[in-house]
Amino acid sequence: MRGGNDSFGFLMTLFMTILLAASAAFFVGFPFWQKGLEEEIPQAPPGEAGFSALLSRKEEAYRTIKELELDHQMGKLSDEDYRELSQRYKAVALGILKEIDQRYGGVKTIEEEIEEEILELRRRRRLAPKEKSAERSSFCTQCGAQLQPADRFCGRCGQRVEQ
Amino acid sequence: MTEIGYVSLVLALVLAAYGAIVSAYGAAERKRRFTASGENAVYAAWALLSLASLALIYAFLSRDFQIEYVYSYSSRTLPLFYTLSSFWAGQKGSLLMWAWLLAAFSSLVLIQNRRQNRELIPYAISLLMIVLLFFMVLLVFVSNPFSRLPSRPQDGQGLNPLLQNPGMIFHPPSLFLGYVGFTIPFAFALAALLTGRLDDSWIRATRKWTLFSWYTLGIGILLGAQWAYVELGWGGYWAWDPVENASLMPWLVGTAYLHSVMIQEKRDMLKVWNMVLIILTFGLCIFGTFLTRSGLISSVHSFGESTVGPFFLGFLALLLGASFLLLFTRLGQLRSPHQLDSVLSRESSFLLNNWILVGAAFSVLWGTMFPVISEAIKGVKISVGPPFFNQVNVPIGITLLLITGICPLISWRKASARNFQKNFLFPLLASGAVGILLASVGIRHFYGWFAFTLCFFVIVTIGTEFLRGIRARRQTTGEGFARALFSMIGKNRRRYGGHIVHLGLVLIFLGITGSSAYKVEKEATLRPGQTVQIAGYTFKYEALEGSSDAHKDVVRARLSVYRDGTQITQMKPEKRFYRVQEQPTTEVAIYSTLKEDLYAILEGYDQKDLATFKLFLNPLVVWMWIGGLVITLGTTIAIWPEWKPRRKSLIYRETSDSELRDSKLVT
Repeated sequence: MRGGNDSFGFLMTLFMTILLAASAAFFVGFPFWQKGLEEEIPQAPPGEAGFSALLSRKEEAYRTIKELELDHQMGKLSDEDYRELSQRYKAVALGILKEIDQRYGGVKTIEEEIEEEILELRRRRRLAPKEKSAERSSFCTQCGAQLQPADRFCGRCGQRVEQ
Repeated sequence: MTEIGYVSLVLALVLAAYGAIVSAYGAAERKRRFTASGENAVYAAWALLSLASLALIYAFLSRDFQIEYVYSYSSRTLPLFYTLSSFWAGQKGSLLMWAWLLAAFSSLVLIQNRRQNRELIPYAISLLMIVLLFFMVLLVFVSNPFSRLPSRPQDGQGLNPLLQNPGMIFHPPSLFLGYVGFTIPFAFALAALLTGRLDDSWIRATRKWTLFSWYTLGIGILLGAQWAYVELGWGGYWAWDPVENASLMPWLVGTAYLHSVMIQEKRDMLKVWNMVLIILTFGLCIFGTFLTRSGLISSVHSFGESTVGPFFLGFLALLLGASFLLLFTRLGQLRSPHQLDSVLSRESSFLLNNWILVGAAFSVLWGTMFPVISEAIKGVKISVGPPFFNQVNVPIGITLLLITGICPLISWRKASARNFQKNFLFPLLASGAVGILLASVGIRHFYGWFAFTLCFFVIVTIGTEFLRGIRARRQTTGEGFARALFSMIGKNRRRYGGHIVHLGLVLIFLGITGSSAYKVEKEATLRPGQTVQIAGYTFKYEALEGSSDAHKDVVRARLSVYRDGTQITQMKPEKRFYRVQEQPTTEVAIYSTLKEDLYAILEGYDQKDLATFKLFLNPLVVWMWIGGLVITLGTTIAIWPEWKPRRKSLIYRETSDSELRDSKLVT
């Protein structure tokens, strides 16, 4: 009884071992015959900050400017110091912006990007522009100005558009 | 089932080695398929280690005492709760936990960075897998948790009664989370050195990991202190025990690192220093794990003599040697183009804090290692006791507290002397008044008086920081008070989360000061009905009671506590005899209030119910645990993910960019 159990247990262990090893090998080896995986890792230019690094440096500079403003408001920085430092960091931010423009600028115009964003928003809300305009009055209830279909506030008086 | 556990460990070892090699090769040769395969090896290793952990849990639950580890740390009568926590009660299980956490964190790093930091990831993964490989070698060849006894014993040896405490559930895992968590920033730092991408992207990528590890390590230490306080029964929570020190050292250096990376993020400075700090932090994490297991130093928690010590030491030497060598070769590229704007700036106060924290860590290291060093050199083991540590660390702690108070009053980059004076005036006057008040009500102990006054000073500066921020916000936005508070914190999470963490630390300081400078202690041998007085409280010994259950006998003394003639509580300190271990343990009775803890220990008794008690009055201890909760709140605020739309609103981005262009700077 006991011996039979042991050999059964041994076989089970062997089977599980092979199964585990095989599935691990398959999973790890998979990228080598996976289709659609690029061969080369694209080379980033050496010594040059990439686009995302530039963006995060820009964000950091903005944050610094905001923090200076807060420190100034809270009375921790004198007026002269605040002016000097915030000018310095604005110059830094501007430098980064210029670098972004020079290296990555001109890819898309602002209008193209805005159009894309609007389309994307529409797609997400699953509302075709026509249905939406049909759904509600196209004049402001406060001042009577004509509304655009996508407007959430009146362009003339700022009244919230009722959905 | 348990055989599968060992098989999984062996396979995970192979995968760790494979992952380390292909990731490094793929990264160096820029071959995508290789790095992708390395990533899959990480996931697979995680799955296999999970399987191994499940196998060990299964062995515990099925009471498979043929497994030596299960035999040594559990028994049939052990409740389910503690049976599960036995997983990490000994060395083998805790090494498995280390490995599992490391694999889990590595996998999380991969998921987190699917689209970012693609340059750093393969190298970081390779390094993480090297660390994992080290633990897998230990688990497979030296310290196998699935090793079997020649025959199957009827019952296990049971869990050490001291470990049968809720603290056991949280303290070790929390420390491990911290130890393992610091591996991530370490791996990224080395990856940055290897790739030469020495900008701050590695710091950004690991900022939350650092905060998380720092928090879990710190809370782990605090939970350990609380456990010692309620369970070990000597009246205190910290004894400068080598293993306590082992966890404190990486926390101190980690705290320094946490602060100094901010300067690199903001100012692109201190690059070398940050590298040194993270390498040291990780080295100290490994060193702490080593100290506990080496048998080098005797301590309440060490796992006794064990064979893994030399392996840890070798690994540590290799790690530190390789890391510092690599750092040395990159020194030229790490030079910072920037300088401090002013001596009186938050940066310089951070630097000071860094030196002090590292100095504190070094003094703790020195005190911990001195017995070993003296034995090696002079052949005599000179023990270093709490007096040394206190003498060095009390002034250090007080200085840190002072900086914590001053720091928020100083602006980044440059603080103007005049505003500085203006900002200081109120907190200084307020805490001066409190200092005089404290002295006049009879607080005499110098350090105690000074620390209390400083705690108050820090609380005032943090408070004014909040009030000023709210006022500034209300002026610009016109929001109400509560709304301004919430939106201010929400918009500056790191800043105000940090302030809240500091507040928690001040509360912990308050507790430490109160309970160490003003502790009252009394020992008394009483007959039933007799009373003893301690600091205005009267303890009346009522009776001795006995009871027993399946695995222990309990003797309990009943003490009634009176204050000004009225009974406030009844305390029941115990002595317990666990049958399996055949050793008595002390179960203390604690009565906590915000002002002070009454702490009673039943030291001994005889047949005629004559009992000896040790009684303590520990002021303000509760504030340490409250401080821990406040730190939890602050860390949560700082670490909470910022709501980020997939893509930042174009309109917002363009406005702030064009505003900048329109400003007069454009030439």
